Amino acid sequence: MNRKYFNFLLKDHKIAVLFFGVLFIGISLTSFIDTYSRIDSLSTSLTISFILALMLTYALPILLLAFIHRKRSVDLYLSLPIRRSEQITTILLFAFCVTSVFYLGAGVLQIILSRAVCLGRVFQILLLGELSIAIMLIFNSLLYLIGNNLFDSVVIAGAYTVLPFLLLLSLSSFSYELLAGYSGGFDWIEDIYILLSPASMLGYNVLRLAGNLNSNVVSIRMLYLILPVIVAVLSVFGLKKEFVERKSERAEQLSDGIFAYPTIINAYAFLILLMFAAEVVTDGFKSMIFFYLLLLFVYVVAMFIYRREIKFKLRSVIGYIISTVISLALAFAAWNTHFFSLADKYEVGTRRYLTYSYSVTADPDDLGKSFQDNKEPIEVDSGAYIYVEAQIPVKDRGQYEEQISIMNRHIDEAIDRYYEKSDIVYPTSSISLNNREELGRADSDDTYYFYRNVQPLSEEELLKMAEKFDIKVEMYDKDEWKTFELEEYLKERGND
Amino acid sequence: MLKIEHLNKNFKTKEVLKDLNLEVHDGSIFGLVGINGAGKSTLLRLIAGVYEPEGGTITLNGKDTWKDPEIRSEIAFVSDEQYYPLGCTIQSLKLLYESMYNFDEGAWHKYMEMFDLEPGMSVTNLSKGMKRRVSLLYALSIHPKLILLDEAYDGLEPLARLHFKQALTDLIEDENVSVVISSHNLKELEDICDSFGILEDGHIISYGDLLESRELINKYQVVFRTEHTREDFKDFDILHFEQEGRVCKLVIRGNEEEVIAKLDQMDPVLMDVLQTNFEELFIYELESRGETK
Repeated sequence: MNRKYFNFLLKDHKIAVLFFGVLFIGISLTSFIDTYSRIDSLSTSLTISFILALMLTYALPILLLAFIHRKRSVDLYLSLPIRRSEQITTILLFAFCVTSVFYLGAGVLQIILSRAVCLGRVFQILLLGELSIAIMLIFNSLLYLIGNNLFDSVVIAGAYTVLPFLLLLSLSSFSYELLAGYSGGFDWIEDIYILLSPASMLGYNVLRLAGNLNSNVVSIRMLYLILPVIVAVLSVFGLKKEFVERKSERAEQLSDGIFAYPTIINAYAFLILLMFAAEVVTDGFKSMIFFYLLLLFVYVVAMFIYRREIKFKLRSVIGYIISTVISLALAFAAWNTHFFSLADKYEVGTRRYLTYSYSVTADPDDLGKSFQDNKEPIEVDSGAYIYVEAQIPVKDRGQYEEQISIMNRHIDEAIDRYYEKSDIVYPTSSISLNNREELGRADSDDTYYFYRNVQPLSEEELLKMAEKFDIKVEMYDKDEWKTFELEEYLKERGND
Repeated sequence: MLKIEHLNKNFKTKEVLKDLNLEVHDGSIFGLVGINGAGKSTLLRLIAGVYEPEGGTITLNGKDTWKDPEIRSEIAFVSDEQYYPLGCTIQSLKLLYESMYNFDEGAWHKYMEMFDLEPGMSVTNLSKGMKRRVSLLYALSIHPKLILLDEAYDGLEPLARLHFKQALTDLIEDENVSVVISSHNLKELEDICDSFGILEDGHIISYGDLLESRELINKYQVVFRTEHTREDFKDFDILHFEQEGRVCKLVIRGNEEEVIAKLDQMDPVLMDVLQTNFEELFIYELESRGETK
């Protein structure tokens, strides 16, 4: 750290620091106006101040390191009598001090206004927030230094920040199309996204604590703390390369470094192509031609922007074609292998409870048929709605072998119909499968499969399920819903 | 003393400076000239510590200007395109120099007056020439041991140039400052420099005392009884040759008396000797290497 340079930065930015400081604290404390619950206000205020601090960790590197991207300012700032390592350390320390002062200033006022409620938890949040600020400043500074000019650097830093979201979107879309039974509850996909985004990992912990001020049960996820620290350490090495050992002549040049445009453009193109490829496998190529050509257009334009010249290069198109071929190969491989066998391994028994939820709107005269399957003319106004929630403790699964076998057979058939693109349709029946740690409401960490187009369970199978689980039949009759136990319903129907 | 030894600098695969050696003595004003793209600005940026050399060393009073940031506090670098933060004033710029250099408030006021500047002036709204004055103001106000001026002398109006020349002379007299000036305006350099270097193809191809060099290269206009070709002068170090009938116009490097004696042996009808200026010296040096074609 260089004291003279720090003082210069402080004096040079004092008006901006004061203005944003007041604004930061003011915005953070708005939740205390017209408050009914001190804890709720404190929770909201802590969340707001953390998000504002996080935003500053994106903005400050752009403001303080902009000089490295202009030839003229490079001449001024890199000829200063200061080591480059000291210069970057001082800039980061200054940015950290500014953000920290705002964040802690807001924190002190939050404690006063909430009359020191949940003090221990608040200290924990503030400490974690401070660590998050430090990590994100280092990481975002590195992202901002990848480019070689102002425009590119902002674009590249933004693209890297958004990349995990696109990855999440792409993997979700790819899985949704190609993995039979896929639902949004696939925690591993979300895990990948969070693990690639230090902001998400740090935000997860801080916001989780801020949202549960009263709860002593809620604690931070250590992995989401350790990994960002590792990212920060690696970023320090990155900063050494991108700032301390940086060739000053890179200023205002094309951003053609290994992690700059070439990587980011191709990564974005590939992730989007992956989504397209999944659509091609399920719906055919014809419907996707427009989108492929549109993406090629955007890809070529992105290359023009990167190279700052409107010049067609065959190499770019070849890159696009290779990405297209790889993405299609992956999609076809996923389809033909039942998503690399993952579709067939739905019954993941790593948690304590397996929960099969079966629902169908069945033909009242034959509960083993879908309501829409009824022959013409339709004799009844409404179908019979059946819902079964079969919660099975994994350790006792031996006692439920028959029931598990029934459900799995229906799931397997649904999976086969999915991959065979079968014409047979059961529109009103579905089975969902959870793998939970605790009974009751589904947690976001549950692995969750959802199968449509499931052949309705026959009445014999329903009776077998009823031996272990409660099965109710709901009928809409004479302007009201009536609920029956399965056996009661079958008996009553028999009497009719 | 500024000493450059075996300096190499590449921009990706392009070699800009190759095994460059140069010495600029204390109290000297060194004119660095070269055609566009010769590497003048690169050399100045290397001396200022902005660029890292790929090979070789640059030392000022024995200290490496790249590795030892302390010595950079004694270097004032005025680049060809100066940077001024948006909305800054002459006064607000002072903060950086006060914080990082050996800033002299008294000198600052003196040069402000000399360059006809006001502290409250918004720099971004100033004309190019006035911005130059601001750069020179700060370069002069930090007690440098070495001033690097990358075309910063160009574009100054005559009075400001005169003032600046006077200020430099004073600094050289009082503090033994060295100055390296790169410029395209060789006539202006001629007035102020005492030594020079011509940068070409990554090397200093000609280097030395300006006065001595100018005395060593002269223009000779000779009339003979018969027509002569360039071949007839192969014993001379000819930088330039022109012939119109029996009249030969030659630029010859060499001691003037010796050259005249040798030309006399060729029995000329008439001979006239003219002195070269710095601009001609530069042109003939490059021409002799086939660079001006």
